Amino acid sequence: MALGKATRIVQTLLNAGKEYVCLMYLHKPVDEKDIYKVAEKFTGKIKQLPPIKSAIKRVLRTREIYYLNILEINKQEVLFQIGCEAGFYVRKFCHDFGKELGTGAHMSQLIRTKAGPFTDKDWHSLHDLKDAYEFYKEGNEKELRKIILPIEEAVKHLPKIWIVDSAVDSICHGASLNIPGISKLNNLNENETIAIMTLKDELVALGNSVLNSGEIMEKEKGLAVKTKKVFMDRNIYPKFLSKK
Amino acid sequence: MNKLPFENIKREILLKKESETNWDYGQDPNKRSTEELVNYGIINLNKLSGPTSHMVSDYVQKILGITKSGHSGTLV
Repeated sequence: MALGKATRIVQTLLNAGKEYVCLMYLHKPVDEKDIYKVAEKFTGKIKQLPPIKSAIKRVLRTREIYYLNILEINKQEVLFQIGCEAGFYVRKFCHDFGKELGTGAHMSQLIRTKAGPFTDKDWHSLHDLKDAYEFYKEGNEKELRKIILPIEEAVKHLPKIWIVDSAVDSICHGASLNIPGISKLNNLNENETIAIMTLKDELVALGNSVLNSGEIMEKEKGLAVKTKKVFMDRNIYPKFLSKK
Repeated sequence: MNKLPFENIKREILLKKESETNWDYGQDPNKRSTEELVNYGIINLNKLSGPTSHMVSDYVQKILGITKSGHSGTLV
């Protein structure tokens, strides 16, 4: 969950890969071997029609299942772990799985265990948050600071470009990033979502690369990243006049 | 342990040009005040089944006394 000015960062998580643990209920008993067979078939790129109750257009679309592990089979209950591309519907997957198996099936429980860089290993409950906020109001901020993380934690999974101080404020005003403004960069492809960072590791903005890292290293000038969403406030870094 | 695609990418850091940062402005994200974090931070929240993502979002706003928040809720 993103707070206040950080709200718009959730888009990067929506677009990131996910992992779920799901309990699926089969409508008839079936040989375990058949379950494994269908599971194997349903790995890799598969076609999925979004459910009726969804916010997007209902057309068949391809989504990749990176891994599918059956964790436990108990009669008609199948517990599995699935790593999948963003925009994959697990409820629909269960339905399709049951169809393929010939028994019918539905999703009975679902837990998301990864969303981009966030995992179930370090999540917190609403109760933790409420308690921590009470402590904070009483003057102890330690617990709250364990729960509320800097926005930079939400871009850990993205390739980054670190820019020189003099380039920061123009990006904050919405300008795109040119090669002379770059100090360091990760290896990256063209047309990827890039996190533009300061040399203090603060998030400035998200953008779309128009060159890959090899081209950026080679060239001396030109456009490198089109700025899409600015997060840092203006006027934190000073305005630098161009040297011309 | 299986990994999502981005978890398998080894990200090197390439140096384009050496540059120093001036600590008179900006700051290390880990040194942001708690007040700043409450209005510019993220929470890895374990939403229980029951309340919708939207309800949880409202509840978080009430707890923290803020007016804006967003979730990247689960597709089911």
